[in-house]
Amino acid sequence: MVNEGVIFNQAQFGYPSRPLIALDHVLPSGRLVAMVGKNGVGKSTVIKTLCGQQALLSGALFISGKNVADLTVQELAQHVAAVFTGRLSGFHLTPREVIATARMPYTNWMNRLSPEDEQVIAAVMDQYGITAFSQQPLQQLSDGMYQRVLLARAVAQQTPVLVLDEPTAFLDFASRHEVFALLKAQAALGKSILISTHDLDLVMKYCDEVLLLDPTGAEYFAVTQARDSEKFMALGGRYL
Amino acid sequence: MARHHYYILFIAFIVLLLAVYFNLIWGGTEPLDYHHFSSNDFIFYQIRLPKMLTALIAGGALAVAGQLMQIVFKNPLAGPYVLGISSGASLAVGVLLLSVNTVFPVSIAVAAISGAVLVTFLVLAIAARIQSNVVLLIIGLMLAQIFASAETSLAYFADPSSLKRFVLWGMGSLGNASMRDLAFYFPLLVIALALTTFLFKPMNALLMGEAYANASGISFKWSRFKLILLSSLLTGLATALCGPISFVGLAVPVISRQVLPTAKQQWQWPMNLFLGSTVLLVSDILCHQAYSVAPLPLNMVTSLIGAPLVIWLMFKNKQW
Repeated sequence: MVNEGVIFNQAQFGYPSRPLIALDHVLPSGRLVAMVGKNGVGKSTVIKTLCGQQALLSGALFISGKNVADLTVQELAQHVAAVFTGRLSGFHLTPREVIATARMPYTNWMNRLSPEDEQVIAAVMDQYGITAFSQQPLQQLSDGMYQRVLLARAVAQQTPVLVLDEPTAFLDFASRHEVFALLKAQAALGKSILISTHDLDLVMKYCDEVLLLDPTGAEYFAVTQARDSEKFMALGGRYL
Repeated sequence: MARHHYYILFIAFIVLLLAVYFNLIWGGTEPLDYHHFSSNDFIFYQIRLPKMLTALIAGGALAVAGQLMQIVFKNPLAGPYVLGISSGASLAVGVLLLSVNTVFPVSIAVAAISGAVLVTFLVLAIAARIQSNVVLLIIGLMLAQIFASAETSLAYFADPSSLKRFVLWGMGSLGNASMRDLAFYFPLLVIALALTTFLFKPMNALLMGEAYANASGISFKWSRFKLILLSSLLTGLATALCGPISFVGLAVPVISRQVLPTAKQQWQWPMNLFLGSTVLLVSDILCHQAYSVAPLPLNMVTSLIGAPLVIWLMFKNKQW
């Protein structure tokens, strides 16, 4: 799978009645990119648009060289995996079943898992230490364990691009670090990862680049240059 | 784990067979007399058998219809009765029963199905504009209220004889359908049920909610369209057969998840089918056995045995 990252081509995000943010940037592959900005600036909208759940107002969005607007829901799911905010509940879902849904973009209408699918699921469950509680009801998991399951699910989807909407909210100190460390390892394997977060300290420690959203315009810079950005300092960088 | 589920399903199937058998024997005010079987032929083939078949297929259909709705809305309160689909069917039948003097059973059926389908398209048109499921659910509940009050005003101005007919229909009855009616509805319901088995993949995807369903490559809106459409088809057909049976579509999917605690909808589907049929068959037995003079209205009994069961299971497991 060739990964050419994510290209925002004068992409205008938001709603027809309320345009939010315009991006004209390239997120290269193999990088862990933090998306920071105040609440309501459009971080979730960018994530949703990357997953095809919302349309661009204008401009274009390319993922691995493909225009998102031209892809079906299923094709897009073979290119982008996602972790959203909030917790799933009900229906007695188990970690294994949640992770297995990551293979849906590749299975037939009956959702029959091939030996390869089974092997991918077993491998991520092993890798992220989920096997031991893979049959427990999702409700019984701690926030940290739950988030690990959703991350494992995104990894099991085997996509070149990974987007995450505030995956460290509500997590304890160790679990926050665990999430970022895990994502850094995935980026090292060649994925483009965009993570929206408020944890600037973790951004400085783990991320490669920062995409800063601001009503007056977006900025994109390497983490090492973060302290040169007035907007980053204003956002909270001055406390670091 | 899967083996454990096979056992539970197998037991549910055996219970269903027993319910079928005892429904045929006890599903009347008097037990069938085997010593004079030939004289019972008429009762058996013209009354007991069609009634049993109606309970069998309508119970399963209503339960599966409820299963689909609860998945679409990720809400155990959803059933064919939310979204006003049943109320639409009921109102259409009300207009018919309260405005026309002579009514053929088939025209009740046509009214129920067209009422259900009309409301479904109204709801789908609204759904196309609404993102949030909770908002859609509230709109559906409000539609149901509008139809219910329209029905009340119709009833208020109706003459007593047609009013009684309508009230009785609203209480639900398995005895309305003849073998000839069933020859028409049974295959249709079987086809509608068979179609739902093609949707296990979107059903399982939708358990994770809209965002994750889309992210798993399953279009939420398209899946929702298919599931709501099939659900109302099942509801309309079942309502045509036996009137608005209020409780099965709501309670059976809840009971099914408690008895067979798995998210896999390919397992929940047969469980709902077996349990839904069993509930109606057993309710019918109780209707005929509890009070010796005349059979009790079906809706009275389904809620009376279903509601405490749901409450007990909720207390025991404390999750839906």
